[in-house]
Amino acid sequence: MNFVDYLFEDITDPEKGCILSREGVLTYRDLISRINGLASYLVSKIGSGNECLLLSENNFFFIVVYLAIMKSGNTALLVETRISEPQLAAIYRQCHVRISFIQKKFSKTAIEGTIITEETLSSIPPASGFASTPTREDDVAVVIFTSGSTGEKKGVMLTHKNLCANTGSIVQYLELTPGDRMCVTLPLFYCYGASLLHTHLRAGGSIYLSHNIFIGGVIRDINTFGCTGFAGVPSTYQILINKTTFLKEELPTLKYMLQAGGHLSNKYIRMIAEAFPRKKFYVMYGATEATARLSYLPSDKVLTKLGSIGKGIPGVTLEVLSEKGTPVRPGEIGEITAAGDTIMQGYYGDPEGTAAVVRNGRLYTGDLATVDEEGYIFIHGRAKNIIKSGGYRISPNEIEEFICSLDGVQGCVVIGHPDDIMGEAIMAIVQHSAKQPETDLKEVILTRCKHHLPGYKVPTRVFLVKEFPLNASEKVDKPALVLYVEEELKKNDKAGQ
Amino acid sequence: MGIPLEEVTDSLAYNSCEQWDSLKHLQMIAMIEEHFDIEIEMDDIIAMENFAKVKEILHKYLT
Repeated sequence: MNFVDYLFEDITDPEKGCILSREGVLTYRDLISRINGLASYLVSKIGSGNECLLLSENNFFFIVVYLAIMKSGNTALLVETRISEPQLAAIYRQCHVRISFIQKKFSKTAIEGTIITEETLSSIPPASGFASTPTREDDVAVVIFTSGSTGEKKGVMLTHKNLCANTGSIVQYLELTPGDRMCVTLPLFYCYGASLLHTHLRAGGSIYLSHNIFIGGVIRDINTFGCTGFAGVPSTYQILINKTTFLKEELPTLKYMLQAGGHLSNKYIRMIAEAFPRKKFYVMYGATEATARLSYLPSDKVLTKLGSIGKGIPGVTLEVLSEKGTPVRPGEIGEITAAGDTIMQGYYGDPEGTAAVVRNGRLYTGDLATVDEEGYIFIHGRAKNIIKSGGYRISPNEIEEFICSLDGVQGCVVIGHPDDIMGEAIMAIVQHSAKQPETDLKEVILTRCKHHLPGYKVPTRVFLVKEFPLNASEKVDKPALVLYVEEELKKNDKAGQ
Repeated sequence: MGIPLEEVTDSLAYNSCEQWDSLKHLQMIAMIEEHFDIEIEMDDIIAMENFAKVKEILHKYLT
């Protein structure tokens, strides 16, 4: 089934507003007729089975274009708005883009061929009906370009079947209803943000596109627009907790909060769960390669299973396997693997890269984890993030978690830095919470680490920063931190001479 | 943000400037707070939507 038809399959009230933003309100009828208009335009111009690129922030333009491309049986290539010219040029070289949909403020020189902006789109008339181009369930609906570990973009190909399966599963476990309204701040060009759009349309609910210069504006938006749900990545919650009155707010309409996109320190999970005992707070885990969501921790377990990513969502077989390929025993470390209808078709133009992570329909995530007696999964680090120091394989998570629990610390990232003797030396980059950190904060951190951690896990150096650099997914930009550490070490070398 | 100085006018605004996104905004606020040794209220952080507003609000903190 065409994924867009699946989304609107059960809509009973076409006059209901489904997309709200500063631009106004789109009802289901408005949205569907705009999608139909553009889909029939696309079929008349390029037919189906072709690729269209979309580069836009969250707005009506993005949503109409994204859904119309899929509805017309074409493939939507989604790229982040902060993409660099060389990266975008590489996508044009690699792909066969027939039409580019570009929000005007992101006009870049790398863009080739036919361009449609939000202004030219308005000349394409809406249409009340359009029969979807027949799609096979393994037709690629969307390609999401994510950053690989080397910085090169990898295009994750997701099919209509992938999208339908993940959407249905999330609607089921979150028990979404037409009464639900999600406050969306996450970019729709990544899978987490897109899943919020998909699930709320499928449930007959609505979303509010919150577009604030500062994330703190969501507090006002949630209240003004009566949002029932909110979703964030770790930095979203850390900024809200540390820079706004978030934890003291009542947010009377809000029923549930979602957190995914990386590990949020246990101290923040606890703060949120304790500040909002009557709201549901879901800690979740996912991967673009699995359409979006892979696991969730039921909200009533958030404190008793603190730090766990929970168990597989409905329809996904999530298993932690040992190197021998058998499920691990409780306490034993293994790799998280996933099987089900949501596993991607592959990386665009990269069968070797695909074969390295998907084998026999099973996704090998590269994330290392343990499972407790009751089957709850706890992540211990990403395989590629593991620091190899002095013959030990060290997961940064435990060190980060410990440093984060100390007073005066707002966040912490631990990385390995090439070291002649140790292989890699452990470097801790610490975001301090006070405006001016205590002068001895570095020493205090090191002393506490020495008392609490085995010697090989104690950082060689601690660096203090006021803010972490963030990437387009609003996660900490680790390559930028690696460069920062190199620069700081060079400065120190010079000062020491 | 890598914007040439001559393009930094009062009308330079978050909504129309590609480089000025919410992350850059937060970094800019942190730099201003550090440089002037002040702490900017949340409502003011939200209101700093263009360069004229940034100057106007900053003026309030410095007088």
